[in-house]
Amino acid sequence: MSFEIFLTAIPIVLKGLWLTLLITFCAFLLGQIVALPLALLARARSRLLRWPVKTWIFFIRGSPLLVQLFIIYFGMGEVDAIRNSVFWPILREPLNCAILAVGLNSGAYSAELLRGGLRQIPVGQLEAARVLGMSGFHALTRITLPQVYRNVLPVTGNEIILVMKGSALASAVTVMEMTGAARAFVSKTYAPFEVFTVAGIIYLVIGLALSQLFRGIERATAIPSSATETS
Amino acid sequence: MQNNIYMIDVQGLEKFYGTVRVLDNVNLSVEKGEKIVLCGPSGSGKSTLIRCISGLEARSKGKIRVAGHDLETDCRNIGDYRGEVGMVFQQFNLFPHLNVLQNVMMAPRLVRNQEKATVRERSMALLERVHIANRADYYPEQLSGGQQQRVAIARALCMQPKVMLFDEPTSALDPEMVQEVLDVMIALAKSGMTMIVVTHEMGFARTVADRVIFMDKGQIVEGGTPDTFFDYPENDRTKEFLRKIQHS
Ligand SMILES: Nc1ncnc2c1ncn2[C@@H]1O[C@H](COP(=O)(O)OP(=O)(O)O)[C@@H](O)[C@H]1O
Ligand SMILES: [Mg+2]
Repeated sequence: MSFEIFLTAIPIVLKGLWLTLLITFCAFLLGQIVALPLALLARARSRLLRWPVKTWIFFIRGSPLLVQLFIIYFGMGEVDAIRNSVFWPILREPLNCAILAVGLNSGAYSAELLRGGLRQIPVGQLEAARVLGMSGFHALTRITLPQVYRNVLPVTGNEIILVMKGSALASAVTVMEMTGAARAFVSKTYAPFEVFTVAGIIYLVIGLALSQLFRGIERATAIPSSATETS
Repeated sequence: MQNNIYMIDVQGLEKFYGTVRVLDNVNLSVEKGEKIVLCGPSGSGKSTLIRCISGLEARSKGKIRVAGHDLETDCRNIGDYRGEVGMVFQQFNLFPHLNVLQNVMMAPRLVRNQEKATVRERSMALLERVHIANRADYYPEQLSGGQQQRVAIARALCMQPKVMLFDEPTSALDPEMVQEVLDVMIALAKSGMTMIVVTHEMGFARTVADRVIFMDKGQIVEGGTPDTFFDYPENDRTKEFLRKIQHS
């Protein structure tokens, strides 16, 4: 093991940091955006609405993320409707494929988290909202979701770290994020131990920062209980 | 409204859960300002009846008209009530992520689009009335059961309801908190509110009720003024029920 290679590896791997953060942030956001409609549809009364969503979630959770990424990256070009669409220039980019794959994957997992959270809200609260005259939309946005998102915050903090780890797969489709940058450097220096150790440590630091962030949000949005008196 | 003098009018109400008939030809007409106490053994259909009236429970058959609104059988038009039918639950059902004042202010703001300052003023006045104004910025979890139930009453009243329905409002409370809630309800009754109260608090019934109605097995068995009901019950099932609750 060489300390020198260790030091030179740091700036090289850090070159991929921006792309790692970009994929993590965008994929997480995409996941959160698709998760809510999926979770609501998965709880719909109509089986016709429930069934396709549950199947989708089943397939995404039941197959490797890398396979999903390859399907999107190599497979979408084969579909004429996609290749001829206005989105093709966007979807052709490996970076966007990675964001899409990781994001949709995270969306399915997050939908399951939200579904569990939705189930926890006591029906009595929704009945109270209904007799007060509130619409279903208002009950959802003002009563249910503020509580559900609070409740799933800790597991959502885990989810964003899973997304960060998933972003490493983007290197498989030529995106030079941190893992990609590390691999390229290894092929030049033949020092995989040092280079990947550097990458691992940087991932760890990002993960720590993200979990601190989520813990901060948790504290800031906590509902005061008898244990924490208001002033 | 003019051709119907009743604030609450229930005719031929029937409700099945699967094949079980939980309400059997219930007829109940309540005049404006009248106070009804509903009692009966557990499982006799009291909750189901007032949940049908409040629009929370679809029914199988029968007519329900409250405050001039005809409620459809499947309660699809519960929105027509627009909070004019207030309901207080055994489990309070406050919104835990909102403080007391926000709990009370939310519905009038959202449903009636009333001005914030107006709603706030009315809410604070109501919180005074239920003796909890000094806790306006507390969260439900920081309050005792009795305090929560008084907030729930204020929350319902803030929609300026024409009718108030109570489903065992003191059953989930520690004994020492029952009276503070009953006192609020007694004051509300004196203000002329039309009320149906499911309760076994017989002192409350004697003080407040114009009529006490006894239900058993989904049917209204008998009803009358508190004095006749408690002192001269006619039906054997009523007598047995009264014997039981007076011994407990
Ligand atoms: N959601 C439900 N599904 C099936 N049966 C129910 C349901 N809710 C109530 N019941 C039944 O309806 C009957 C009346 O219940 P309820 O109105 O709660 O009685 P009470 O309030 O007088 O105790 C009971 O036999 C109860 O088991
Ligand atoms: Mg009941």
